[in-house]
Amino acid sequence: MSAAALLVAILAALGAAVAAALHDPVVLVGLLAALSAFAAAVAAGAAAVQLRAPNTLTEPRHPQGPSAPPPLPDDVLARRGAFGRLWWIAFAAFALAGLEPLISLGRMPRRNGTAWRGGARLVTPQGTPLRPDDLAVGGVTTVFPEGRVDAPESAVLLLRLQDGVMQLGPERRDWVQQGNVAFSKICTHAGCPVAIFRHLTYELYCPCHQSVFDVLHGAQPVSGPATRALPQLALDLDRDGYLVARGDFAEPVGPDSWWRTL
Amino acid sequence: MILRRVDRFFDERLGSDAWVRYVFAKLYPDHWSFYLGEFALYCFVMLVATGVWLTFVFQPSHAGAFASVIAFTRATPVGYLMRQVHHWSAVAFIAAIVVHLGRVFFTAAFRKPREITWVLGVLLLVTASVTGFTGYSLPDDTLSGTGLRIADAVLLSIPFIGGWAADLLNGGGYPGPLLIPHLYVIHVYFLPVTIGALLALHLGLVFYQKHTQFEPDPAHVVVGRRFWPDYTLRTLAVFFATAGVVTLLGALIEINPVENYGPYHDWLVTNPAAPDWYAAWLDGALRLGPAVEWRIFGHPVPAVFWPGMVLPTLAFLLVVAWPWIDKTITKRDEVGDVLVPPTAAPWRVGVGAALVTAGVVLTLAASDDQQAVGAHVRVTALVTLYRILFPFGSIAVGLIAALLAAELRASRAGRGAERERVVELVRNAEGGFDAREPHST
Amino acid sequence: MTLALGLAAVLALASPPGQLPYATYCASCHGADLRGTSNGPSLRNAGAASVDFELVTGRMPAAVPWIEVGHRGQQLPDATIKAIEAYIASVAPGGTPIPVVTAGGDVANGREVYVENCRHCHGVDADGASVGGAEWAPSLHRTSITQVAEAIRAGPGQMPRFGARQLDDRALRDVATYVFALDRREATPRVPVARDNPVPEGLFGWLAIGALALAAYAFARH
Repeated sequence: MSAAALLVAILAALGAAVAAALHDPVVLVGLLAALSAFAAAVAAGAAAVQLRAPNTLTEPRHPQGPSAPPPLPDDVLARRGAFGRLWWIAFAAFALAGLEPLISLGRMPRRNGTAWRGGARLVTPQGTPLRPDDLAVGGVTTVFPEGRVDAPESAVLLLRLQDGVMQLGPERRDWVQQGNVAFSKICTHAGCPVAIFRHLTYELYCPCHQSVFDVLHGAQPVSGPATRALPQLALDLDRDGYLVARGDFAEPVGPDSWWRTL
Repeated sequence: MILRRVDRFFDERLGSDAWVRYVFAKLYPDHWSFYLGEFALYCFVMLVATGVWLTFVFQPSHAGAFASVIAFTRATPVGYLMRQVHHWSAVAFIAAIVVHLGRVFFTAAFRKPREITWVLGVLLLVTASVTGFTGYSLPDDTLSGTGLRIADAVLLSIPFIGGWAADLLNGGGYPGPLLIPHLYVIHVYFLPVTIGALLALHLGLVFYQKHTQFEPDPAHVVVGRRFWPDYTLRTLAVFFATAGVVTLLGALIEINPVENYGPYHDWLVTNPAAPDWYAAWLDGALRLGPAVEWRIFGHPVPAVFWPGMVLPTLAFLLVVAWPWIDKTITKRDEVGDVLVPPTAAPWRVGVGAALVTAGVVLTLAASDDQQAVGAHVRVTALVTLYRILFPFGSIAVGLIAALLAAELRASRAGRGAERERVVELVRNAEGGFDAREPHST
Repeated sequence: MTLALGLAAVLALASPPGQLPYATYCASCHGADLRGTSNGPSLRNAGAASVDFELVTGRMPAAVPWIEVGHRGQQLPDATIKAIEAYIASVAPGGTPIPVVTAGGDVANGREVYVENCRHCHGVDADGASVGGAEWAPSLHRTSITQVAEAIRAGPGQMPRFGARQLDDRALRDVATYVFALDRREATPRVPVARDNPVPEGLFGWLAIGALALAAYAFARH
């Protein structure tokens, strides 16, 4: 049994090596390798069983309990000798000094806004600038500031809704251009792309933690763990009729942190 | 013959024969549940073996990581299998650690003098999980990138130092230029070396303190099989079986098809978005976590801080401190070389079952969107369900498990008692029965 | 009986073609004048792409008002669908026409279009996925290339619309070709497991450890 299994293991292992060298399909190489391992397992297991060795051998356990006498006699600990208080204070000082190189590895706070600037055209990931009627009503696309496609934390969802359905406060009225409205695509909860536009109900949905944002009321969170609205990008039209940003976001983009200032 | 000469070489210089003789004669346990830890050990062996190979073909930079993974995966069947077996071993490694931890918990093998071994084991679970997550993130694909982004948000949420920690890891804003290099050195150096050290201490303690056992008699001896050749062959069989299983999975089932996911951009996402299983409980917690952002001294404490940072910290502290919590509850601190059958301590079975249920509920919550589609219900309905099940379902399952264990213990005790009271029934003059002691014939 | 048949025949002859099937299958919800009722939306601006998509995928006619059942296969014969479409087009012309697409587009470009615009709803392998609430983006595996193109242009249900100025006819053809090609693609190791998220992988990892534990149980003490 054991010898037969070992023979299979040897042949399968050599076979796997040859098959891999000949660039045979992965499945064949993998199955041969697995077969060789299983055959080796059977060989070792069968050999062990054939030993008929006893499984009730015994040996004594180590004696346990406190050592006597203790390695550090009480009077050594009590005395202010080689390891007196000053030594411990010195160790603490070394540790504190060592903190500074560690602290210097990171900066804080770290967020400096996005790549959006006033007058920056909204372009698709392919770099095409967009006019207000390029999206169909009920359409959506991802946009970036022109020349900064793929810039971190700068992805924006541009939505086109029926004219006049948005229910924004007066200060945001002119942030919308002919039904085009733009929100940061980076979730304020944990930073996933809020990619899903449910156009019948005017909602944005994050596939990571299921937060739902109400587009008509400025992408306020209405369900799920997010606590803050997706920042809105104020839109304008340039002289050539292309959509542009009025400036960077008024609020910080992405997940919150202790040093976030509003 | 060569082995003899090698043995002589070392013995003449180190007097190593005495030690070899001791190791060969050492006894090892003969119970199936003691192999669970070995599965984990041999998964780690497979991880190191395949991982070393992978370091030669992987390019640890944001620009090159994804392309290099696709390139070596496509180039040869060896490359493909190495990555497949590496990832499957990681998935199985952590599963084996969890099962092993469960065995130790339910049989109370963590009692004095093995508390240190327990703590090292829990640290191994944590280190293995973090190593798994960093490795899963290295290919820089859309799915793992989304996971990294979430991890970044959790790091960022820590009061006061969060921004600093995230900046340190990223080497700048997210996704920083140094993120992949940092993850790489953490994944291939810091964490594996840590695992190796923890493993050496863990196994060293098992070796030195000798194993626990179910056999109570005779007192102060350890029962088992000799290491050489009996147990050597057995553990070899376990190694090859483990290697065979992860290789078989690697050969047959595609894992983490990053080619399918495509390279990472912070504005692209896959759907469903779910992490590897061992991180799913944290993702589930993030999904169930309340939508609250408190302010402390005017500073925001983001919602992800509680489920993403506080919950795992509390869970870790609870598990790591368990030997001492157990001592407090049982009011016993004597040496526990003899294992407790799970049914003998129903309350511990209850606590364990409740903790497992809590973990399972959070894990299930991490795929609630997929379940909602399958069951044609609202995602929010499932969120509510899991929010209820997380505390109350866990308690209920814990109570039921404790009651079942108590019932089992009682019925076993009853059976034993009845066996002791065997009587013979004899018909009496009135037509009824009298019981009397059986007489031997 | 004969009288009724005769009456129907006369009605069918007397009325414009398609009015009868429209009256039979659609009017109760969308109204005889296509302006919609409390049971269903107006079809005045629906457009041919949307009407064809709803009928050919069997989403319409719906068994229960307002409840779209998803892709359940064509419910009406081809001739009836053509007649209804012609009738609706005659009463309410305009809207998005049925796009004409053929296979043979650029799969690589199609994949790029898919990743940017479709993947976050329909999933990596177009197996379908949740889009929140109790709603999901359907699997695209049993669809025709025309249906994919119609859905892109018309935006059925919660799906956004993609007009020709956003995705031109070439992009439309590429992405439809890519989706169509997904069905024919082979995974390298061939055990069919969902390849769009790691949940099945975790299950198999636990199965593996379970199998090893069973083997150990059978082996120990021998």
